Amino acid sequence: MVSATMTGGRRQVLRAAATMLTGIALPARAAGAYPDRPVTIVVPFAAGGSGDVYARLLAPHLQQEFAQSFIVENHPGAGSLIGTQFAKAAAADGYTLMIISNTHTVNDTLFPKSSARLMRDFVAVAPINSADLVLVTRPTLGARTVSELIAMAKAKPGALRFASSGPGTPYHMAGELFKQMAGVDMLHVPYKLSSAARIDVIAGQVDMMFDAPTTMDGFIKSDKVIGLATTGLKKSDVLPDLPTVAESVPGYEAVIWLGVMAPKGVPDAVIDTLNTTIARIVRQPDVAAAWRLQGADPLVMSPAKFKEFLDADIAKWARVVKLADVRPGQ
Amino acid sequence: MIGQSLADLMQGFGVALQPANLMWSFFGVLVGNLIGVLPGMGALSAISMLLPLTYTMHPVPAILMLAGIFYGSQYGGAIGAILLNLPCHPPHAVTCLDGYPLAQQGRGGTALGITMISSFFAASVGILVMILASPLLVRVAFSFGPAEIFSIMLLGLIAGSTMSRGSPLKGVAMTVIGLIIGVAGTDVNTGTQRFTLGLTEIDDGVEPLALALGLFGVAEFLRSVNRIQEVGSATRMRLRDMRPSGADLRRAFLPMLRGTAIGTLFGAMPGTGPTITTFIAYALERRLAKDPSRFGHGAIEGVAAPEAASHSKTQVDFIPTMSLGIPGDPVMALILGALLIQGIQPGPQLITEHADLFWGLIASFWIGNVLLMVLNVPLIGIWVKLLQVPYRFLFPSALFFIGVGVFSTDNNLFNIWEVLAFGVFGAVFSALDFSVAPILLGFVLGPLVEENFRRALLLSHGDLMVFVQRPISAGFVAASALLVVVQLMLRMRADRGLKIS
Repeated sequence: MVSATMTGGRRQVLRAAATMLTGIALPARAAGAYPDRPVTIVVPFAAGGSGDVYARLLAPHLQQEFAQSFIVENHPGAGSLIGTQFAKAAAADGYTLMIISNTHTVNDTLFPKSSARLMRDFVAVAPINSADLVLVTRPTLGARTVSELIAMAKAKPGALRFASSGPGTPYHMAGELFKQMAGVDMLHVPYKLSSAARIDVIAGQVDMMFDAPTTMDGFIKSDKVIGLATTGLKKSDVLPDLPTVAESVPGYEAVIWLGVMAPKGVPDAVIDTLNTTIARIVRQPDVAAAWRLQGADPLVMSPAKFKEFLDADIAKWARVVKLADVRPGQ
Repeated sequence: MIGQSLADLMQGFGVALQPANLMWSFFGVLVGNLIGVLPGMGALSAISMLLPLTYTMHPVPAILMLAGIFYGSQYGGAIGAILLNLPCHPPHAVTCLDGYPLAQQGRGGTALGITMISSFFAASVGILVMILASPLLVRVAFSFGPAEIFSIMLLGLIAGSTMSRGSPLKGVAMTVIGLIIGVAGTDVNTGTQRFTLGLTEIDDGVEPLALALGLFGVAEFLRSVNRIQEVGSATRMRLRDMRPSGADLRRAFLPMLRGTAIGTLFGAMPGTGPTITTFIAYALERRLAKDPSRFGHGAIEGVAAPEAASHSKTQVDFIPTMSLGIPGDPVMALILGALLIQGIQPGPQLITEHADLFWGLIASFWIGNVLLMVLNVPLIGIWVKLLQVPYRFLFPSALFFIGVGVFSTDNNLFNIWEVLAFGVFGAVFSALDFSVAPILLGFVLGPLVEENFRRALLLSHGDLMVFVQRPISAGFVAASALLVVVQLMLRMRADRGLKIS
């Protein structure tokens, strides 16, 4: 049933977007005001992923607000490094923006030698949204709650196996954070794609994984997997019946957030304009409602606050990466 | 269960035959076909180009159009593989092996006709299997863990590496080179970069499209530039050569059935990918053939079987894609992304909650394949005429489209250098009479073999017995061992025979 209403909400947003794209005359703007030519949004992720989907959902709104084209360009590869290096090389005039996620804040520690450094080469513009993950186990494991899972892991250190879509990905980091905060030892089993990891959890090949709630919703409802808890600080809108991990492991939070940054040197006035516009868009009731059903909570922060948030996130994951001894890259 | 499925399917035909939906489906097939024909442009580029168009559409026509683009471009890709030796999709590399020699002998029209018939037949069977056996397919999908995938890939690697023409030793050598190229990139287990030469662009490994287009198309161009006159004249053809003859059809019939069966089997195993399917289908035909030496020189069976296999695999693959939300390849991942943008979550609930979409899609597969057939019967003549374009125009423009195609995979200029490098590499090796197809096989299967081997061991906490304790895996391991033993025995017998005589 969730899905039906979700479709309705999303479709409304899309219909609104459609009218924007095709019909209405766009308001005229003073010459010379930003932006007076098309803006490129660099998505350093592959088409179809959440970073791409939300960039493409945001673009038509920005287009309407600014009466300018906002073009989404995918530059995927090397876990966001390629697109990030591409965006760094662009002119710092506000006409190239980049979508970022916690992949970037984790990579900051994983790839200390990358030619593009997040906080050195980019400025924070605005956050977009944040999405919880859900901790699921194979149905035959036997743990029904997070506490039972922790007890099980403590009884047999290293025996439980958790899947992820590869070292350094948000799903892996959520697991490592869980290990550290709950004080348990579990074996990490990496996959190339989260979908391959998912099928092995459902098939009972591997014990558990952290995954996207919307993807897992149907599998939890049909008892293909057991949903233990969601990873936000408050309950998830998609799976409101599940507790949070933080209820058993105080302070635990592992979410996937998205935001916008721009190459360093973009005038403050442009950053502020973009920040207030994006904040206005993500706060629109219909946008917020549709996103919530997709498991994404709109995030609003000033550029300064967003910078603090990024610094804190980098520090948080740096600790996890170091303790987990994830092999750093070049 | 089946009765219900049939009723649902009828409703699906109702949805797919609505004039607006039918129009979008046709539009998708047409555009996909036209883009697919361009060298270097495959389903991936076609869908990513047209994806934004679907954001403002109703979900049903949007998905029908994308599916149309998908199989339209898949068929279009076969045209490039046969006529120009340009596989825009790695599975088509196998089609090049015999399709291109056929085109050079002036029988490109025959090859295209057989491809079309095989695709249509295999897709129809695949659709029937989807309808009749989808719950079974889902169950089979879950019995394939890392140990099973490793064992089946091992079999594929062994069966495939000796299938190319010429010396088996050369075939194995090329497979090993493919394995080594496949190792480059970030290690899935540790995140360590291997053989990336310090280039961030190789962190995700070598681009498969660049490898396929370089080794086949570009290498062929490089080898032909000095003898353009010769090459050009070989492709002159008469109109009556454009239709497959009765003899061709008879010859292609059993390979088409076997290819379809292989594709259907592999379709039930998510994570196996289409490339291994076509290689195995080809290897099987070569082994069953009375005269294996014809393969690689224009055997029509070598076109019919892999094309049938890839189309039935694609259809059957839709079950895990839609009902488990598990994409079989990047193109499927893109289609799932399109569903997500429409607010539709692929998963077990999709078939029940969006019955109109699911069954409409299945019905439109079949309708789309009919449209493809109707569209291409008159077009074959035109495609084949492409070859009469003088090579001094054809080669440069093909190279241009290859450049555009590989660039558009992830908007990166580096890919163009990759194509060029593999083109030179492929030209050198084919000049030395090495077949390049096994490189692609090693490249595609190598990472899968390694990844699943290590994962199976991780899951078993290091116990190697896992590969023989699990029955399905044990079966494939036994088959691989048998294959090696048989190969050796044949060799020995041949040697002894030589000595006696």
